[in-house]
Amino acid sequence: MKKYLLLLGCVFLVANVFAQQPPFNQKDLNTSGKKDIRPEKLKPIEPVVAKVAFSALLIGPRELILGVDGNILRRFTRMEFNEGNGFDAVSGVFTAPSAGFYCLVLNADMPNYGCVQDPVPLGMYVMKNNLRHQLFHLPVGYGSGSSSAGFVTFIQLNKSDKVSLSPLPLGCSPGGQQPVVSQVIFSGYKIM
Amino acid sequence: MLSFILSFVLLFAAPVNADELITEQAVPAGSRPVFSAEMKERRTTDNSRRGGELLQGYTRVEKNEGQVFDPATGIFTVPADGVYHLTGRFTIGCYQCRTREFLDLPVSFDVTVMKNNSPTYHRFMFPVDYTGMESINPNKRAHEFNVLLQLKAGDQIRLRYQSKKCSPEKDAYLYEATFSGMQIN
Repeated sequence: MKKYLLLLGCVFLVANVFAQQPPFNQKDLNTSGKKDIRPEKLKPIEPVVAKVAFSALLIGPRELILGVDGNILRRFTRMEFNEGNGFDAVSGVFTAPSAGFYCLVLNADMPNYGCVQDPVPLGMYVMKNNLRHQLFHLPVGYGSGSSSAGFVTFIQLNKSDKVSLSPLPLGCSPGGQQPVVSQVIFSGYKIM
Repeated sequence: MLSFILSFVLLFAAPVNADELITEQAVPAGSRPVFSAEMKERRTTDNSRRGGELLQGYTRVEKNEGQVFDPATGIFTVPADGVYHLTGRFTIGCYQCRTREFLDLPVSFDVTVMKNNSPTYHRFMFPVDYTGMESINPNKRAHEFNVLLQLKAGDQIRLRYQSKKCSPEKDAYLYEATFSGMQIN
């Protein structure tokens, strides 16, 4: 009888030890390849930021002059949303919180030029890590009134890659009128 | 011996924390809200009435996951909180108004994204050209927009358009329009 009770006790003991195992936690994984590392020494794995989406609004009018603000579209008026906290409205720089394939959307409202004979587009570079990555020619209307232009593009980014917009303002002749934006909306999101 | 067994009984009696149970549910495939609709017929864009015309009466629905879009009213009803990518495309006929007034004061074809019947700052001013003979060989221009919106469940999104009438006989015609959207986050 004693033997059976002892055996039962041992079974309970083993079962109890397994039952008290802490729940699986991703942070406790040892990914260093080393053995015998105490849990407190483990370096937690940084979670991947899966949801990334931002939209920033710039309310003008703002004249775009070559050389101003380091040729970067800075000083956005406000953020509409900033999931992943990747966009900085002051510097106008989006820093990818995680690696992935991103969609960028730009909308710009521009007062029309007065230079009917010499319509010029507003060039807009997508800058990737301070290098010119893509150039878009946004058509500017002529006469009075305003017109809208924009683009959609896709871009592969590594974590911490930086994306910004760099206008290439060309004056029209005669008079050298500079392009002006009355409103800019710069948005983006991670596709995958 | 009894205390030994009792200790295990007490240990076994420790309550299970319900919060530690994994309750994550897989999102069913294809449940992401997606819609795409088309309006394909010539319509006048003259809207002397205040606020312009609401784009409704779409003629074809390409995709409507979750029945989030009503082609009759042109209303997209947001099914869940999130960020949405909306896109629209408009094929606009050219004016034939080569009058001094319209050359000096060109008009735009304006599309506004309406949220719960109020205009948002997402307004697109597409330029209207002046060339082309509408009755013989209509010149058309296509314009498009893309927006990202953070929306709440139940929000209603629709499009409004307006343009200035060129002359009593001449309108800037709208020939085609598509309106599509999907939830991205």
